[in-house]
Amino acid sequence: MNKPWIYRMLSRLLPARFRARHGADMADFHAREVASGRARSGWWGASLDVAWTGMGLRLEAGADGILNGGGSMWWSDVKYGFRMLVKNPLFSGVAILTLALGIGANAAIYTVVEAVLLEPLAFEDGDELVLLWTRNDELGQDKYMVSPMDFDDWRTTNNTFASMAAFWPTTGTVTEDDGNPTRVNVVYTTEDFFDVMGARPLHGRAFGPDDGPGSPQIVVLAEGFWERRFGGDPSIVGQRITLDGNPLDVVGVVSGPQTFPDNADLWTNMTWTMQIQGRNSRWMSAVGRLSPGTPLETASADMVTVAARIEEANPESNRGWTTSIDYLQEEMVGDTKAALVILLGATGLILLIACATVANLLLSRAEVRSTEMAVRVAFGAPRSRLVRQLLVESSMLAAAGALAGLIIAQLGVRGLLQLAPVTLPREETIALDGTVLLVVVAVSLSTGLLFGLAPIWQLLRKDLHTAIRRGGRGSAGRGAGLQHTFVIAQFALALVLAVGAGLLVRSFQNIRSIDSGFVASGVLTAELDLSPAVAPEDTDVTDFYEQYARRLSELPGVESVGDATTLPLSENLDYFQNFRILDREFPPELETRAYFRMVQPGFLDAMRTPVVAGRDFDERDRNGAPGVALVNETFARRFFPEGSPIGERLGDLRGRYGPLGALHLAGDIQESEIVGIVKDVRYDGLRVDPVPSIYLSGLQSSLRRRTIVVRTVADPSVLVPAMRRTLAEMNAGVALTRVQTMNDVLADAQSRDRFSTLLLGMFGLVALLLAAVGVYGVLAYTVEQRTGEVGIRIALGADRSAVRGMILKDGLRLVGVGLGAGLIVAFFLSSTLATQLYGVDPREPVVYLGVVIVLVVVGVAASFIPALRATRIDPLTAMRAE
Amino acid sequence: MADRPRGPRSAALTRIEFLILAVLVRGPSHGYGIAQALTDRLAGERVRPGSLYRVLDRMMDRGLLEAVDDPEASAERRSLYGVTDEGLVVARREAALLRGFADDIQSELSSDGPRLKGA
Repeated sequence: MNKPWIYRMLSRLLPARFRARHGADMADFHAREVASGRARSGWWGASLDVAWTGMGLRLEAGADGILNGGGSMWWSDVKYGFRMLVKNPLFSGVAILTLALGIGANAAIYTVVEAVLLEPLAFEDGDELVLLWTRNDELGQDKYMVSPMDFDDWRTTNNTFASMAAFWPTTGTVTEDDGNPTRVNVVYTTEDFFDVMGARPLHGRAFGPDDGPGSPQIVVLAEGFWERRFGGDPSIVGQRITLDGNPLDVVGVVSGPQTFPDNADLWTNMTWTMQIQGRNSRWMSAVGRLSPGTPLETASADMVTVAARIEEANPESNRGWTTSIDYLQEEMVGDTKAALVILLGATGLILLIACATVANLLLSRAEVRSTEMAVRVAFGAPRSRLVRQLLVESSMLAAAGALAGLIIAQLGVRGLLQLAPVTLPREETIALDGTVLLVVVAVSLSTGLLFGLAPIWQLLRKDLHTAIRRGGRGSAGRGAGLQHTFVIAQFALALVLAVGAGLLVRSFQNIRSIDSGFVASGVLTAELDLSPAVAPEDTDVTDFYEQYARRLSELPGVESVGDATTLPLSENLDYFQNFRILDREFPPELETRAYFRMVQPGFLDAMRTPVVAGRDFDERDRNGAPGVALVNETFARRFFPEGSPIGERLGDLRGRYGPLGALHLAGDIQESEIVGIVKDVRYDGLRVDPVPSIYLSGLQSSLRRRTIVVRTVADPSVLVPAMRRTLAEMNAGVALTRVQTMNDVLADAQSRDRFSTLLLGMFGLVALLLAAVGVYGVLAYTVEQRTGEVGIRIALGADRSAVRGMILKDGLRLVGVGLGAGLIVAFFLSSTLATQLYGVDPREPVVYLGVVIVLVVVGVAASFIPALRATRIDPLTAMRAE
Repeated sequence: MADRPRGPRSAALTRIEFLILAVLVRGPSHGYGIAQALTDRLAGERVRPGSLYRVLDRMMDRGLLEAVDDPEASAERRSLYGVTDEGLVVARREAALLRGFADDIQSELSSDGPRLKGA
């Protein structure tokens, strides 16, 4: 990145004569050096060089000026300002720290926002890319997958897309030469996938038109996996790797930023046609590139028409199914966007509060310095000169605040990434960079102006002669009015932030108390995928899992073991299907579809998910035995509101998911009896209500990818080596992946909410602190201003407690007005939080009341010290000073 | 600082000043060209751009260098750095001086000095 305009702009820092001589040449020098790649620190190093040279020259000129009685006026302003800042270390320290907090928080959050929301995708014309899903409102299904046949119709009959590709993310095993297996994220794609995405390979080639149905299966590696596994060796292109037992040619490598889905390790081409299954088998994902200039709405309407045509032709399989589309970027960012925008707004408020705080500090000081100013005017200094002096001082404060703020931001970004939800999108691109620096500079300059304006405004309106006569001490006048306004604003803004924080804390409490339907502590989980090479037949799959569970249960410290196709709150694939209950008709508005989940006997026990009626699966429920099923409470409530589903029979469940395995073993099982009702479990997220689900016995299903759960009496993570050893003894070619405790899974599911709550909570605290400093500063200053008055009152016999009450009342009046204004703002703003909240009304009175109480207490505490000081005034001293 | 004496006799040249003169006696150049030539002569040692321009500025103050119109000037209205007549005089004198030193050192090292005798 090269930015000649920046060098030209910065060359303004050079003294005029030097700039006239060398400025243009210097800018050109830097531009060429950065372009040549020789400048080690890039464009910002070059910028620094220009700035540094300018400052050095000016410093020398300044020193010269002092020695020889001349020098630049600006420079003398800077020196003078510096002296003023050093003379009042407490004032400067508080002001700089306040600004640093405001600027640092903004820079940190902006860094994240820029990387996640603002930077364009790394794909060519990435803003034309959209994701496509199926959707069925009657079934409450949104963003569901598409069947190969439907996808084929989408692709061939739409009018608004330049191209469209399907992909299917799954996992596989890459076997190394020494036989060690590595689990990898494999993405099966149609041959035009990379063309649609606009991705260019780093090495070799991507898939082309000749890699479609019937062609040999080949592999493209993702840069990350290529670096990790092959050390970034380009000669891997043209060699073979073994994926799930099949040797496949590697044809290319695609860069990290162009890796989609972002956890992909490698892509392989779909070598089958789209006519492989019925339209009911929805398991593929789709991505499309809009024809140039096509608005999303037009494409959306077009796809709805396409889906309606398919529905009309295939009422059996497609009734109620339509499509939905959204921009890829929006989708990758997901609901993080709302949270980040709220955080950005919150940091903006913090910055405003910080500005108000510093403006107030400056105002207090300006009042104290009004004699100095008046004297300078009396000696002939034009007011413009004083204005410049004040502007220079506030800019210096802002600059110092910005520097300290950058340090805070640097630490903050690191902290943010630590705290961030596991799923923070595009995390790899988050870093402080030139753009953020520019934003910080802009923000600091405008804050400097903003808070610097207050004392200037005051200066310009002031009767300076009175100031001289009063010797810098006067009654609370116009300046005090401004200060009061700022304090009111601080409390109002602090209340808004604190209400937001309070609502999120309340919501997070609710989320934590959600009954997930299982007991997480003491449980270890790990994923396993049996390739056909390991278990060729359906029964080999069930045998393997049964044996592994039995051997694990014999390990010391293990209470119970089971496996399941879908782990609650995980990202495992779910199986959503039609079902039929024999000899029973349901009203047509009741869609008979449910999630199918295979669980091994022992799984529900290990998860501590109770069977509320009937019985759990056991050893008998295996291949060859009569088919059995369990349903969850929601299923029972929805389909059997009057009676009980136990004893009802589900119709034929045989269904094969391509390479995934069969839902139900093909054997003799024609029907399955419902034998029990299981407590509702939150599968799709803690905030998502349970949906009708059917459990089938894992011993009667050959689905190959499952998650093992082990409940232990002690710390579950101790068990990991033994689990791996046991597996290796059974088959060294099977890998255990994603080993984590159920507590971690639960924590991940809460992480996004925890993230927002923690951050907004922190911002709320900072706001509270700043507001407290604000009201304290103003009152302390007022007390000082009124020392004479108070002294006289006390001398005349006023009760000291009455004096204290007077000051306190002053403080609380400000706090009260601020809170009133804040309540109104918060009331209207809080609805923007609605999507982030769970089980809390954005206008929940309890939260508002709590926040008001806290702020009043803070206001009283901050007012109390100055009030106390007022009562300690010695009337004699006070009056002598007058 | 206006009344300080200026001119070729005011001070000896620093090494970098001499090298810049040595580069520019071949013909006027931009700052970037000077820096590249210097890097070649200094065996890769890099001169910070800011420092280079400060030296150039000082040399212009001393009347050793002057701004020369660039025959290929673009809209940027940049000019080249060229050696003044004074600069040429100083360069010649300095070169003669250095050549004298160099000869002395050279003959000292190649003659049978005391160190070599003792060996």
